[in-house]
Amino acid sequence: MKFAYAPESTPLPGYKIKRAIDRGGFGEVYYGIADSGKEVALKLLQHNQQIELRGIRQCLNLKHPNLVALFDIRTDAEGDDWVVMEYVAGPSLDTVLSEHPNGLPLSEVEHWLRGISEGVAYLHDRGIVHRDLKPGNVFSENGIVKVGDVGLSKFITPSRRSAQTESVGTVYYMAPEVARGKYGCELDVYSLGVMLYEMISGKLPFDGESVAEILMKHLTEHPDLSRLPGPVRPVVARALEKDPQRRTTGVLQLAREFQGALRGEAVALEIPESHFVDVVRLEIDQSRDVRSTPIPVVVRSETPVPRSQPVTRPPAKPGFWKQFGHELKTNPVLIVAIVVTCIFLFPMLTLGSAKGVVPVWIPSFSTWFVIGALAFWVNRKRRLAGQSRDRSRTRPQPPLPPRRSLNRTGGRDIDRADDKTHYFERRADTVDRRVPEPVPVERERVEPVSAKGKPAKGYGPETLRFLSWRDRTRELCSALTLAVVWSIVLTSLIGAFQEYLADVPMAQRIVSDSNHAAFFIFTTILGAWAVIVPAKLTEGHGEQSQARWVVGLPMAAAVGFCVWWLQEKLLLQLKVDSVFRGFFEHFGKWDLTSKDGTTPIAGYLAYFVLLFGMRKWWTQADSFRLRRLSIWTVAGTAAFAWLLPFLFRFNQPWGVCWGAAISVVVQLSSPWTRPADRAARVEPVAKTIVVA
Amino acid sequence: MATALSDMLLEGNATMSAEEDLLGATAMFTPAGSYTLWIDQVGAFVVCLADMVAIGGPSTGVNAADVPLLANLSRRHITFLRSGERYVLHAHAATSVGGRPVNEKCDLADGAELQLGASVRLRFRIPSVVSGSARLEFLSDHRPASAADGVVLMSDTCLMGPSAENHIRCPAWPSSLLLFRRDGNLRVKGREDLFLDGRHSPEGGILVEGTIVSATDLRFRVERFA
Repeated sequence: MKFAYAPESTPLPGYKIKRAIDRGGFGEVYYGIADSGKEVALKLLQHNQQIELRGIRQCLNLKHPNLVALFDIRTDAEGDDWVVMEYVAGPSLDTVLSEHPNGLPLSEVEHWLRGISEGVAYLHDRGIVHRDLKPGNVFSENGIVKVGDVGLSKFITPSRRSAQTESVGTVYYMAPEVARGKYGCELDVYSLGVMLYEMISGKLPFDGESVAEILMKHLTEHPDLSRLPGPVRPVVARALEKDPQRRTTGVLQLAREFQGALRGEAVALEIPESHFVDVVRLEIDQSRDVRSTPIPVVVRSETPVPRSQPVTRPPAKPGFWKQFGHELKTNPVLIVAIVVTCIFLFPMLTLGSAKGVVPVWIPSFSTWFVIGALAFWVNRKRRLAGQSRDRSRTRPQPPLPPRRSLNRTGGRDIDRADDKTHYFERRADTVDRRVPEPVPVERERVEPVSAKGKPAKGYGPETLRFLSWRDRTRELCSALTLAVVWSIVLTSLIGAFQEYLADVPMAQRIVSDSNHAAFFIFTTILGAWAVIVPAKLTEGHGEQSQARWVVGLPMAAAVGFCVWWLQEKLLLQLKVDSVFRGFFEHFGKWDLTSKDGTTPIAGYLAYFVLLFGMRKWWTQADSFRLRRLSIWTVAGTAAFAWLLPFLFRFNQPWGVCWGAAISVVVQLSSPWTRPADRAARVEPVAKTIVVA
Repeated sequence: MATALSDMLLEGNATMSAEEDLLGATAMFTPAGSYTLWIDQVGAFVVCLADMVAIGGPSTGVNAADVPLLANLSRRHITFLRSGERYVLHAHAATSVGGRPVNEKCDLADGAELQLGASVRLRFRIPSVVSGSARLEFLSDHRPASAADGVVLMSDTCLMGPSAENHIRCPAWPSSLLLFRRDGNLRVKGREDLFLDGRHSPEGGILVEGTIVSATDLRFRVERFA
């Protein structure tokens, strides 16, 4: 590993660099000696990394025996920022763990856990979330545990550049809620839970071949607790809860619970059966047990996992009604939405008459829309959970170093190769800026290695992922614009095939009358927008079908209303000539069809509400949909649109054409991510934290 | 030849020519002082070249120990004396080895734990069977006033490298380097493509005060131990 500064260089006046200590996620760390002889650690924050210095500044005056002290922040002549901090001579937990591949003695685990939790609890008490707890950041000197890198973690924006998304760093210790960008102290509890698991067992609870795989495991998999002694299992299980609300309430609490478990105090916690894998009975090493009698422990059967297996395994989806029932029980807003719907439905059914439209329908639908949005928001909040105390925003992140420099366990080759890669890439911009370093005659050159996970089949519209508002807006705007273009193109196609459509009166009217053409184009655009806007705004938040429908249906009704209004204004006189009037002629007091063959407003509203309500339209606009343009989806939509007039009479083939056209336009205009690139777009998500 | 040497030493079957080479060099060498090696990613190690090394408490006087520790010790608390392959500890003040108080002097074996005074604890190691050099590890948190993570009592050679048989363990290094004496100089060689002070020196070279030794994955600086 090469470092920018040679021994004896003095980038900061008053400090002389003696040797490099290591390279972290932020930059290089040097051992330095002040002119007075005081030894310090000098952390170089290279300016191309745009470090959020505010985070460190606010921690500068924190004092706690379990925290590595920060002395100063200085800027050198090159414009790089340096953090001057306490030099801790003792080994990092990382080093200690590498010397104990099967875990530390429990008394030592307790010592580390107590020290870390006290230091971190002090931070939490001052409203600071460490955000980057990991063994490499924790040291022990003279029997005192010290937590380092306080205030150094930062957000990053998810970067598309693959070089930035490949490295594995703190991913091993990253709580699932980081993926959603909102988190609080519970985050540190989770990281500490992972460290506790690792200290006891010597293994990581969530390990994998790629960043994507590890992240997916954080999000979906339960840790295999069978590697831990029985009494501490519930403690670790609770610290590793996916839902921050259900997690252990604080780091001190975690330490207390662990100590209680060691002393055999009852911990009234249940571990879900799903936390255990297929088992063989083994006896645990006697020295590992707190009490002198060995307790039989269930241990994972060591069957090798075939590497070709797809890495992501999305959890089994519960059925719609089951999910709906669960939502009903847990989401009060949804119940309110249903009640309000019933209240508004009553006057709708009884009042009748098109004159009542404005006073009754508009407020009812807008109320419904607001409630729906609220339901979605509550739902989302509950899912993402974790309050963010820190509002600092995200920045691009340098690639992370491998977790350990020592070869602790096999199977980390990717990380290391990766590290080499980014090292050389990094060298490119830091090289020889100040140091006359020997230039090797023929330096090994490592091409960037793509370590990203295989494009798994598991990425679909329901995949949780983080989209910044900027990306969202950009994609939304382009989709809305493209929808207009495609609507016009599609309608012009009718003109192009005019001769073949001689028998279709609708086609002839569109070709011959610009009003009809405009009407068709406008309806298609409106319909496509009504699909794209809510879908884009909620993309990446998971399934949430109920909430999506509650939001979507008023939009559909609005589209229906606009279409009705437009054809009235344009005096289009769209008439249905079929004698069959459908199964329903009325909806309450509202006429769905009229005697002269035209469709009244209720017909339009009902048609569009049903058309939009019968399908998961949002999946057609999602960038993770199966294909860019799926003919089957279009055919399905058209089939629905064709079947609807059996319920009540409606202008055909207008309805079918609208259905198909909207479906095609939505799919053509919404951005689409190729399956191979999806992993990269999911990955940056949980990598919003960095480390040094 | 340079590449093979460290390996041969490690494996314990150095050929006669290599042995002669080293021993011949040793005979002519006049021991001189101690050096600190500032090693990137590893730490600071004191390499003592003399056959007699005294350890004691802090002092700035003429009679100061070779390695003065910031500890409540006599000025010259103990002396390590190397004769051939043996190390003898001369205790000038309260010292115990392996928990047993030392009367005056005591032979040291690999792994011996020393206690000086009330609280200073050291471990004596001879990590390599092919080299007579020894290493002192700090078990308690007492250190010299200037940084040191360990002390090497170097006889003929000192090995730096990734495995446990090296006197100075450098886990991230790809292979071992060998420090040795020849013609009154301290020299370095190894299988890595070495640079000395930026000059390409594949055959190694002489180490003096201030020399920076580097290769693709390693770097250290030699400095006289104050």
